[in-house]
Amino acid sequence: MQTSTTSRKVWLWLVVLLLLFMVMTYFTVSKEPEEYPDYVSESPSPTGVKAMYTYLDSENIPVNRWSDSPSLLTKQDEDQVLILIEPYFIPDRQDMEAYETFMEAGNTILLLATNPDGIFGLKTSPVTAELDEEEAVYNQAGREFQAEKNSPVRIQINDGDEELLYDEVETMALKRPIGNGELIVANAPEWITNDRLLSKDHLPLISMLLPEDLQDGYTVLIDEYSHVTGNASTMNELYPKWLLTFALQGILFIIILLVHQGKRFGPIRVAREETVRFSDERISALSAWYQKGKRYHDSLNLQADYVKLLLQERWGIPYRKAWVDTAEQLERKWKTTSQADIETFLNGLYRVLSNERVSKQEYLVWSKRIDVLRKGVEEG
Amino acid sequence: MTKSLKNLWARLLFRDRGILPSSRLLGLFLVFSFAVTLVTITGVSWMWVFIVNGLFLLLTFLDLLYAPKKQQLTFHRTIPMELERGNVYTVKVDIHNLSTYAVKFKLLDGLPQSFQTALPLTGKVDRQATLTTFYEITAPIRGKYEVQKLYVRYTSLLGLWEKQITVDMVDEVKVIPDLTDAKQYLESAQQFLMYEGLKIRKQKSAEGEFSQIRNYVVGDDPRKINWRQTAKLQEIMTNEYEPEHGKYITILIDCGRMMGAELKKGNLLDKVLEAALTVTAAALKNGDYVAVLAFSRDVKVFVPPEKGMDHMQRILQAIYHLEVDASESNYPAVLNYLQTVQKKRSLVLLFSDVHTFLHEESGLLYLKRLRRRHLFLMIGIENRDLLDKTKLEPNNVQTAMMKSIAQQQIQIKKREKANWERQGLLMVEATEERLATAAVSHYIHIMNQGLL
Repeated sequence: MQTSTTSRKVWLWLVVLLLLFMVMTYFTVSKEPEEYPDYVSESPSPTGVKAMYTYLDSENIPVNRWSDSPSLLTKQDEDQVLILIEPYFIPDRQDMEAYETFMEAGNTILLLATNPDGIFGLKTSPVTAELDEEEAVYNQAGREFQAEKNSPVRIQINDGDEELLYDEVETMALKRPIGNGELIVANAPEWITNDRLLSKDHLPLISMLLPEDLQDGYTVLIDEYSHVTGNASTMNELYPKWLLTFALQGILFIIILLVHQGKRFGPIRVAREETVRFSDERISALSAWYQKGKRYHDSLNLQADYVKLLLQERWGIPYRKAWVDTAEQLERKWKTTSQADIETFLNGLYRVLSNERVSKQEYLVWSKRIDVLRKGVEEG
Repeated sequence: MTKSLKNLWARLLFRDRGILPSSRLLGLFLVFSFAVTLVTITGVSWMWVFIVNGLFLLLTFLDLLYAPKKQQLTFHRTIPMELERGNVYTVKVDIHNLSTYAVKFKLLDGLPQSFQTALPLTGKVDRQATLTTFYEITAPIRGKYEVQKLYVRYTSLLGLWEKQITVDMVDEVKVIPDLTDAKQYLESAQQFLMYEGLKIRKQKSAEGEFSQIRNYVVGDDPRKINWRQTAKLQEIMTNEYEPEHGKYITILIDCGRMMGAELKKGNLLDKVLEAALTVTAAALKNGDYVAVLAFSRDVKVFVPPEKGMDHMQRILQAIYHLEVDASESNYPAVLNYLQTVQKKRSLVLLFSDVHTFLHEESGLLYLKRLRRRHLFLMIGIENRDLLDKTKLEPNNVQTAMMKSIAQQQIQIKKREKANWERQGLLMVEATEERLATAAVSHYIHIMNQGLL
């Protein structure tokens, strides 16, 4: 009875704890902000550019998101400004040509990329000089602005390019006429993000990059196509076709191989343990016990006793006789050893056997000496 | 739904039936793959690659049409019902192919795990033909087993896809002790005992019962000359006597813990069973009654005394599967039990481990009581390991200790043995190879002496 009430209590507590946990997770999880990719015009996160989008919108400048392929961009001069912010991938040749056609028709592209190398034929050079903490950026007029400078590269300027912004190292933004339109490049996409747009002089810098007469009939397009993964170069373009085919055939081969190898043939074998019992378990246990107790004296006694019984069985020397008294008979039988040696052996053995304290070294020495006699008896 | 899907998947990979690619198909596919890869360098569409792959697989599947159907192959296995431990036996498998296609096969038998064999078998059966194949098995562990399914993989002669089938054929197999010694004894007792140096002597003069009249040869007792027959046949004839028949022999087999000690081939119990069966054969041939009692903590098997060669089979069936128990043997309980079931005077042969037996203190007391009615003989296997240990070179403390303890055990055994023999209790030790011979010759010796 008691156990049932306690178990019910335990269950109750468990349910309460579970509910509590569920409620907590609901709150913690639901408050977690939604994840956005960087530089997306819909993103209100610090890395997004929604602020710029809404600002332009509120200024009554027609602004749109462009998520289609660049080949669908207008091919006439329609005073459009396309803002490309930090494309995830360098656009492939087709897309690049489409962008160029767009510009040649008389439209503008504003490209903001940390390293615009390779896009629209732009070249960059790395900053070798030590960048100090200075945050100064100068425009054509030489006016100083404060801005973050994170890019490790500076843009190389060509003939015909117009330098818009520079710092103590080199060009940070330039304008390049392409056909009837123009390309504006800056290597600081961080100026346009939501959290930094209003800090330092970022907003004036951005508006300086945009065409001056923006409000007069311009349409701003913020490019999202370059932020869609579909824009990424596919496997198809990265690797040659024969390699891909080879890989495909390899996968098929492995599938066939797996079926070939994996199908069981024959009865199921269970790994089993064979047990082997040795007949020496008793003596190994006893000897370990003697060794731990350092019973060298007892062990020597056992060995001597064994040899004595052997002496009685083989050589007829009475078992009851003391070791010292067997000298005479031993001399007659044990021919490989001299009389003097037998004498010293028996005296030493008597001493060792009557001495309760035997050291390890003595024990080994005497074990060997007794063994010599044993061999003499058994083989002689 | 999911369960049946799982079943299907399990069947595809791990169950007994199914179709699987052969290594030949794998090789062919490799060549095909290289060809396809080479062609794609010239620039063909992905569609082409997929279609060609599909076509290739479809074409190889045509190979399955040229392999027999499952029902068109029949199998039959012939396996001996009784296998002697450690001997080599041949298993016969008949394969009958009813289809119009020849077939290549690979075959595995569902033998118990302890059996040793060289499977799989491979071969080829022509169309509408029967093939008989053989393989050899050795069973090292006694007991009752079941040989279950036969596993077969077969292909057409082209051999791109293999079909796997299993045939349900349950055969019961008993692995019995090695009866080589017993058979040898029954064939020629004298030959069997030759290396023991013991002749099956006839009895002391004027003892035992009359057996036959034969020609007098030099060395026969002249007092035994049958004068009536001599006169009749004009040749010196003599009476021959032999020990009495119909004595009782009780064989005690210890299955306790120490009987599991490993020998060169098999363990102590295996050897003991073989020796016991040889003695049984000898005694039954002699016309004596044999009872067998196997025990460890309790009595495991008791076969009441009976005579005649038929009894041999009964004893064999009762003891062939005996196993070593994990517990120590209980000698007093067994000797007590023996006194209640064996009222007639008999020769009690105890097969056991001498050391364990000697360490049992109450054993002597019970044996003294037993001796009043029965004749007791204990047979053990010499512990060669222990003897070797007494001759160890004492190079370090560990070996010196081991050696001294081994010597101590030998001393104890010698003393105890002398003590027991003083009480009239015989104790014999034999090497593992000579155990059966020693047991039989002691039995014959006792019978010849007419001690029973």
